[in-house]
Amino acid sequence: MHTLTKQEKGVKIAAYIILTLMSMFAVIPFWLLVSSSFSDSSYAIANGYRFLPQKTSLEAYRYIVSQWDQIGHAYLITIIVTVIGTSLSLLISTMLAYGLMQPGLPGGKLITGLILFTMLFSGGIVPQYMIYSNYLNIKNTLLGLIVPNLLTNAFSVVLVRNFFMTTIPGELREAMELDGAGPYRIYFQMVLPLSKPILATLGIMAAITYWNDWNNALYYITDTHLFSVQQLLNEMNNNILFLANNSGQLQGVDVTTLPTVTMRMAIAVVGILPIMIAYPFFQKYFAKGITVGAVKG
Amino acid sequence: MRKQVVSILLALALCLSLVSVPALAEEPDHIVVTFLTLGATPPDLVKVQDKVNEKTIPQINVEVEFKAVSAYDAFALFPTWVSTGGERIDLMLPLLQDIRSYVDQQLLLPLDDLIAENAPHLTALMEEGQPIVSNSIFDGEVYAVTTVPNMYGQGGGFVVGEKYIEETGFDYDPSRVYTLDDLTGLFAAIKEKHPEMYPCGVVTTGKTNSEFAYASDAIDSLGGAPTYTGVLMGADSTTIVDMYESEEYQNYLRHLREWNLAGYIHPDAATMEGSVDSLKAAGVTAGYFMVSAPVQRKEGDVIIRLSEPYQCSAGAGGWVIPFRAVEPAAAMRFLDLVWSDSDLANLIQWGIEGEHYVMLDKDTGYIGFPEGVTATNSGYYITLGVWGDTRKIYSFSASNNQAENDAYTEEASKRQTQGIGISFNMENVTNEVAALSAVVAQYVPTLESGSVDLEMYYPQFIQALKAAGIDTVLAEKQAQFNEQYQK
Amino acid sequence: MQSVTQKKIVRANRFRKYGPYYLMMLPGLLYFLINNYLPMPGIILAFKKVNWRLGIFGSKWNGLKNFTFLLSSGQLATIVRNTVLYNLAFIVIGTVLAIAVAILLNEVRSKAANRIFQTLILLPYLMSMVVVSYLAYAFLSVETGYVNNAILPALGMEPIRFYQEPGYWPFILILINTWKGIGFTSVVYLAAVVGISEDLFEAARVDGASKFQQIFKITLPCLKPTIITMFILSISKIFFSDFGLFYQVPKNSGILYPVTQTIDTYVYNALMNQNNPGMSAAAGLFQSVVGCVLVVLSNALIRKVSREDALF
Repeated sequence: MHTLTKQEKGVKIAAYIILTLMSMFAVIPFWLLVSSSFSDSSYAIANGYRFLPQKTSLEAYRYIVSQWDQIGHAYLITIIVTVIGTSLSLLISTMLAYGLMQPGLPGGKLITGLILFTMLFSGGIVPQYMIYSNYLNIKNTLLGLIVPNLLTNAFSVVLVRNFFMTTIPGELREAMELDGAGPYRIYFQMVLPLSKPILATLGIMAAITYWNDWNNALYYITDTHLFSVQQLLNEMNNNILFLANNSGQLQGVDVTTLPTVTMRMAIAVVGILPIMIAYPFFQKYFAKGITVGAVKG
Repeated sequence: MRKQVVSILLALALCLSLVSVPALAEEPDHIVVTFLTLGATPPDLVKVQDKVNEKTIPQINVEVEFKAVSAYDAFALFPTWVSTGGERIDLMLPLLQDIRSYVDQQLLLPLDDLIAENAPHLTALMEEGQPIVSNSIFDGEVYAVTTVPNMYGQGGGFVVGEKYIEETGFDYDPSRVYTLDDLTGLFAAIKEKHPEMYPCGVVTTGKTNSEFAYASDAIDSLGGAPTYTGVLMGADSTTIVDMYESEEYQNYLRHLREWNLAGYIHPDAATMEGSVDSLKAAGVTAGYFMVSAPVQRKEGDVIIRLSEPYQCSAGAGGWVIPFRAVEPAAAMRFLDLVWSDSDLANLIQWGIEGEHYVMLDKDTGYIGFPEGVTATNSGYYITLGVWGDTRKIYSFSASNNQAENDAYTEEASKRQTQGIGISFNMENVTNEVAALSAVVAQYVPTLESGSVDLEMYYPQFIQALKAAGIDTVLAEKQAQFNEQYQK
Repeated sequence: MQSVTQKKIVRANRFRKYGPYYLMMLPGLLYFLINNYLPMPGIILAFKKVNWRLGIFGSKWNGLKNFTFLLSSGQLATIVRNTVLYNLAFIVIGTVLAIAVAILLNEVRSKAANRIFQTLILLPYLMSMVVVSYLAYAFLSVETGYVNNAILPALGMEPIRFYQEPGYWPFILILINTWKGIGFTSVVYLAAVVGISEDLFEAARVDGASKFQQIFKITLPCLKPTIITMFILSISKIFFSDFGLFYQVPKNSGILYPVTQTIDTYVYNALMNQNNPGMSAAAGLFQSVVGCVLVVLSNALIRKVSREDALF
């Protein structure tokens, strides 16, 4: 290890300062979110949110505890879907990419083209919904939360393929083939273990997609027992806004039973925490690095 | 001997057949009916559903399955569900949606024959003159059945806490019609007493239509078509005009602007979260514009009338049967039973007596929660009143009673607009309507919160409406009105 | 005759060789077939006057009528300009900042500090736009907003009605979008920065290259393929916009429309009161076609400048 020059030290210090500022910039609004979730809701309506709750109240969290049957269940759904969905997504996209990287694969270019083309055109949500609901029956099952998000980004397949092309040593593979290893063994025993950096990167992207998804859930899940945390929050927001906008035409609707803004803030906080805690555990794999793009088929 | 045997056999057979009638009865017809919620599915829905089936299976041989859908999902997803057949539904309520577009896309079954064959009670209600289908007739066919209204009529009004009336000594008379200038006086007096308050509750965030009807005399936009497609102004008018260009509307905007500048309207009125009643409950505002009907009044409120009550054409909507329904006839039988049997309607509306509610006053139908049950922990508390004959539905509020509603209806029925029974078909002007819709979303919430300078902004709005083709739409609407009015 | 059998043998060998790979690709390919290709004929909805009893294919043709509502608004120029300019700003600013953050993160060798920074910067990405819109409102509103109640008075300035002043919004929207997205995009670039061989830097150091020279001569050129790929990907979405960002965050405030209305929010406002699958399909198709054309064009341009960097 070489000793740092003055300039390098300067850059390093600058890096710490700038990143600290950026982190604060990211944390301050989050702090406001947390603080408002501890505020009294009538006070918040009249006076807005403060960084230190002026009139603290645990009503929002009491609400979460009282609704834990549903919120806790939604949590469980979110976690199950994120774990299964991310694993499946990684498996399918890496297998596809591994096939595509085989030199001389008949139709390889065509297939790559067809995969990339899906990023440019889509038939729209209604036809897709028809296929999933009328022919594949994934509605109101966990699959309804998992399947539509499996390969949302066709590009990730190309990303993995490029990673394989640049990092999988050909000699190692030939050596394994000489030992009589078939393509599947090579894939599982050599390719995947060598691909941790890209798996971690794609895994995080997929996991966040699953964790934050409410759009597909809106269409495919109507059974409240299968609601995920984000869907629960999104449903609350949508219904409250809808009812507020139409209050004139809905006589006698009792809106006092609806969750207040502070309650929704609390659910947002509760929804963010787990993924924040899990995130650092994935990061160590980044150290190996990946390169997006470059190698063409 | 032989004859005897035969006759005994015959008698036996007869007996057997009599005995076996109930046993041989077909499986009840299973129907799926949407059940609208405010977001959370009531935990006791299945329990209530079982009770409902205890009534419907013996009476009409229909087994009901409620499918819980939140109000927003119903708005956002019904078109997709019905068009693709992704969800089985036999009877549904597209809440607050104009079903015209469903009809145009052939998504609904025409109901005339179904009603004639399966719904004697609905037929009777229609003959009685109840407006349960009159707003939903397209090209001569009925497409939806609404609840029997507990009150039919509307009018401009301002709901305000009674304590503010008392504090300020405002000269209040429930039947007098006040002007916007009278309100200015009231607001000024409240503001003086409570400088931190914004007396006039206006929130226009995300609004997609005008709220002028709450502050004006009779307005009819023909069958719930959006107001930017032209309206009849005044009960006797037969001329379609652009409401936004009218002198009355400009006067309304001028007042809103004046109130905003004077601090009577919240400075964030165009962008804040929260409904007007939550702001009123939080003590930020004193009242808000609303239909002057007595049902809009909560405890401790009074309604200041801004126009005489009147009756006008209402939006198309109500219970519909999708074209993919598996058991349309059974769905209609169920509808008919709920509309005629108020015990059943109350069961679906408020749950099981003793468990979800207790009767406090049998005469007025005033009910309350049982010991230990509250709005938040009740297993069944859905306040969207969408079932049956709402005149006979119980109420959790002591201040509402049917006598008042009837009086309001009676009063309103004396002033009927010329648009009743007429509906506007937007099919020929869809592009203009789309463009106008975007213009209204852009300008109306800002203008109606009084937060911008009218001199500059209002002419822009009018010009944008013209550019979007309002004149074409007005002409089309007038033509349709003339044609239908003559019949 | 013989050649035919030879061909057969070649084919059989080929199959034996590649068969297992096709099998591995099968789930993914099936997925794209079902998820993307089967619904694709639904595009014709854009040209139909939909009658569901006749089905999508049985409905009457409607020519280009479903598209005209975009034109009849007279706003097309504004909404296209807004959509495209914001996207360009997002691409440029987002890319530059994400690369800068990635390079800075790479300088932080302490594992603990690195993880803390990355996690915190990612935080905004995990919030839904609705929540972001509440937070933005908490800062910007007149009556209760933080800026107007704490910051501006401290600076001795008059309150600003942010939701009625279009001038501030290009800045606010770009700020929010960058703030929200940077934690995520920088991950992609960080992975690429980390992947650059340490030998290159070592050699440069031996040659006496300064830190900045290293960044400009080594890091950035090594990132070029990544940048180009990400750029072309963003170009394909240039006619699309984040609905939440442009609708919920400005609270749909009409007075801001000249600078906040995009194609997506316009289509939403226009079709809100009429459920018209033909018109919404038409709008979507319009957006996709433009994106597709732009991708092909920009790729051709890149190909002309430097052949090996083109995506296809």
